[in-house]
Amino acid sequence: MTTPDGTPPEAHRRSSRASSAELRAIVKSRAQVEKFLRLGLAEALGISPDAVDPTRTFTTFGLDSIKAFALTGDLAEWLDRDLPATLFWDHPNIEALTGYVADVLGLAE
Amino acid sequence: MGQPLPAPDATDPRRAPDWVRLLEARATAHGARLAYRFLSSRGEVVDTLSFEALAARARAIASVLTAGGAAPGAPVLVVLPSGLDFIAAFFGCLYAGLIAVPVPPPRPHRPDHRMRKVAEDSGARVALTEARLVEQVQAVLPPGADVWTVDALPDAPEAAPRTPGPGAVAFLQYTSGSTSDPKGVAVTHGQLLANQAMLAEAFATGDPTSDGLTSKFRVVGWLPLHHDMGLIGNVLHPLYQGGECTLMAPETFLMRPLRWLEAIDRYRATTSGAPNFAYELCVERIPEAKRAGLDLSSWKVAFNGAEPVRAATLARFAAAFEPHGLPPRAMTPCYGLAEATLLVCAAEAVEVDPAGRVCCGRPPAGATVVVVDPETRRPRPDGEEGELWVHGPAVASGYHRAPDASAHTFGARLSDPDDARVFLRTGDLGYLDRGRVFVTGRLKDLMILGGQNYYPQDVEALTTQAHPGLTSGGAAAFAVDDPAGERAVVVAELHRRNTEDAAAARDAVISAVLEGLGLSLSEVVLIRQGTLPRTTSGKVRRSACREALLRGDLARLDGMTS
Repeated sequence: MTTPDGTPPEAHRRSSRASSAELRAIVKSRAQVEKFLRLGLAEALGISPDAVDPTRTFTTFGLDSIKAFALTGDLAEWLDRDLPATLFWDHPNIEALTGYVADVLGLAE
Repeated sequence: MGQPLPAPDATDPRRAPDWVRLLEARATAHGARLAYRFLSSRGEVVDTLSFEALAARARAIASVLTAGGAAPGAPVLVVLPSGLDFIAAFFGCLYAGLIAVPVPPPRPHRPDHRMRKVAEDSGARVALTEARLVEQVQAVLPPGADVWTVDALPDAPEAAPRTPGPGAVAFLQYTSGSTSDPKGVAVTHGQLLANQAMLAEAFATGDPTSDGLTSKFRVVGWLPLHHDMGLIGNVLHPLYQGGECTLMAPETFLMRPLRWLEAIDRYRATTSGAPNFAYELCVERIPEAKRAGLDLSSWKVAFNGAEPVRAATLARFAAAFEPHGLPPRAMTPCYGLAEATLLVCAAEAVEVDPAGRVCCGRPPAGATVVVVDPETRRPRPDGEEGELWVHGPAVASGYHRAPDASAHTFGARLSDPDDARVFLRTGDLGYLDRGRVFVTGRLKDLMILGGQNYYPQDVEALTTQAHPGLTSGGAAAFAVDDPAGERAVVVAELHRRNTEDAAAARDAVISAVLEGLGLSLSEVVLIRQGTLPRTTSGKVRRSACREALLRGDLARLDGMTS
């Protein structure tokens, strides 16, 4: 999997000591958050990123709690901020979840 | 097993007849010494309890329960998230002479069938919870039930702790219950204490070289507290030993597995464990760069149980973390089940048979495992597979309010009429090799994934209700073995007029099973109506179905053959 700016996720993980401002500079837009989620979900489920419909409820993909928590942890690490463990239940599709993250971070369209 | 333990003297709290007197003795002996700490998702300490503070909180909660009029021996639903309040509530029940019934708190935005079923089956009319859950808990209890909040406890006149004694039931363990037919294992104070002695021997944690109070015994855990391994292994065992326990929520581990290993490092844990899948997750999700700072050299016992132990996982985990201090003999495969309180046996060292099965060691003193032909009830010789039967002081009394199921499961006798011993039928298959247990499979169709038990009939019922093209009795659910663990598969017959709906039906099944049970199916195989393997009386043959799937012999609607 690669992240929206084309680097492997490990590069972001290693940079978790960077300041939040630097990391948020990496997260440029909600489109990139959406792409992160799309790629993460596709990887977790072993399906093509193109097959991920952003309005489809996570549970209909077969996303179980272990995978949902893992994605929440990856997203929190990438964004360098705490996210509630219930994130994927509170915002049950990519569109809703992207909207929530964009609101919290004050991201541009 | 580890070296034999010195016999505890009369003042040793481990000789207490019940958990009320054990905690009182620990509180007297250790006072303000830290017993429990709880970590946030960031790994910061957010709550602590000393031995005397836990005893004081238990007394206060028991006083409220007693003032509320709960009769001794009544069940109390304990609905709390992972945290030290759970431990106080659990002991509050015991101090009031009541039976604790731990239930996982309901997920937000979802109906909670499990809590309702457990509430009904246990017959609880009293609950301990927290303020934000009161309405949901009240909704599953009969009208007029008492729901107390441990985070906002009312005043009550102080009641003296009751002394339940070894024969009283301490708690009901519902982890292995089916959702449609839950069964609560009734565990007495004495059985719980007997299993602690077995844990101490199996893990050699009673360190005779320490101050005699084994305060060098340190546990780190994240397993759910309503899970037998989380409660008995992580919470109760350190208290029994007079050690120290550091806990975090399961979500903390699942979001970031590194938090578990960081806590083991920081708090110098000697004992910490989880089901096999957790060790897999650590290898997969903690990259090399993140392992670098870890010092796992204190971790003497890394127990692995509650689901089948995989040789490949043990090898991968050891290879990944031995360079970071994990002692070479730390990996400790175990076998146990809720019906035996928790532990049956644990290995001294990793040993794998030619078929790849992992040795789970010998049962500690007092417990016996025999391998039996379940039909003739005759013991089988060494090396021959049969059903594992367990006898000993830690085998539970039976299922709560289910005499027929209890008699069948807990009342097994060998064919030899002179053998008076009563055995627990585990439903697990295995063989003995010079007294050491190798688990090979399961007699019943139980599916175990992620340390959780699932019953195929529950999965099948949700499947056939999920879409109008599926019909009751037309599905088979089973687990398929993979090197890293088991995966769950459902095979279902789709009505001929609905073959166009195959994709929709598949999605509906995946959703329904995930919503209803929290189980993620790895595959939904839809087949032509009337082609599911059945007995002559029309019963679905799950194992025949699994074999047909693996051979590619099913009439699949997607045209695939495997």
